[in-house]
Amino acid sequence: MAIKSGIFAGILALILAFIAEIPIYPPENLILSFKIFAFENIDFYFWGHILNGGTIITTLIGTIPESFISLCIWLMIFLVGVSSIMASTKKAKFNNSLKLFKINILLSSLILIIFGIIIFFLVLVNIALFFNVIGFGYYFTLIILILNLFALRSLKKK
Amino acid sequence: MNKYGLISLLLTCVLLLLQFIPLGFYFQFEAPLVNSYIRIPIQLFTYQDKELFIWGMVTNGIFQNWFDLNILTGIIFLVLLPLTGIVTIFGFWKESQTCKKLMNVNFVLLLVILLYSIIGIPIYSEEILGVQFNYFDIFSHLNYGFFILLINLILALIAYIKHPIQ
Repeated sequence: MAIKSGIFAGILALILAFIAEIPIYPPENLILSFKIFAFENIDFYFWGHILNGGTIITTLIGTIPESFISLCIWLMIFLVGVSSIMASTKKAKFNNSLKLFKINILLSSLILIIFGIIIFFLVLVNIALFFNVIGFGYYFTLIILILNLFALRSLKKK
Repeated sequence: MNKYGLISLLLTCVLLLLQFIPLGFYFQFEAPLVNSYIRIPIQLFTYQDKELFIWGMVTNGIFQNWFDLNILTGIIFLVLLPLTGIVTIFGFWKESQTCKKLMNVNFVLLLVILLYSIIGIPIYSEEILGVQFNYFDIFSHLNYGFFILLINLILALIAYIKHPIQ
């Protein structure tokens, strides 16, 4: 049987890699934004950042090494998405799925640590701002990590 | 199933069907309903205002088919690349000797396309771009599409070597 938590984690990771925002209730202008963190009118996403709600900048295309680092981080979340789904299918081999889930846990932890350190240094002056700076993207990455842990546990039980 | 073959097929589809890779999707209640913040260009080469894609050339927003510009380029890009895609569809799925041969065909066709893009385009550059290129001039006009094609070629080689046979 397919591992549901793994598939859900994969879909969530792919959403983070490609989608910026989803409207929840347009009359009230309620939008679910997938930004990782926001600081001084700059919203940071996996694919780039938006300045003052208008100017869009992506470091995925540009000068090396900035583009290389951004591409690596984007590929990490993309890989977590694809491999979570592939490891959760019925036909996946046990050993391969085990390796993939471990890699996913490692990569999503790495993403959380990298952005965690960035956010920590941004709010170093005023730690109370910590939860204002963090966006849904960061929380969803945390959920992806937890779901992958669940998926690994249920795979081991089988 | 050959996973490298599947990725190669996806890259072929990206090169053949898209003008750019959209990232940062957002939804709105006016046309277009789905839009994106970032558009990663996938043209093979860019020369001044001319963008050379696999499926044609765009000059200041005006599209021109390869068959209108240069028939040989049209045959190489618009016939061989779809053929590569079809061959990969049949090749990546089954784990047999015949499918391994199909993955070899995929690699050879991609190699022909890549070699033509760096040798053939400079030869016919006056006809296509209006300027005669020297052989190595083309390398200063490479764009992301060329690198996607190169990655596709490498993946096709790995797919051929690692094709599982039962």
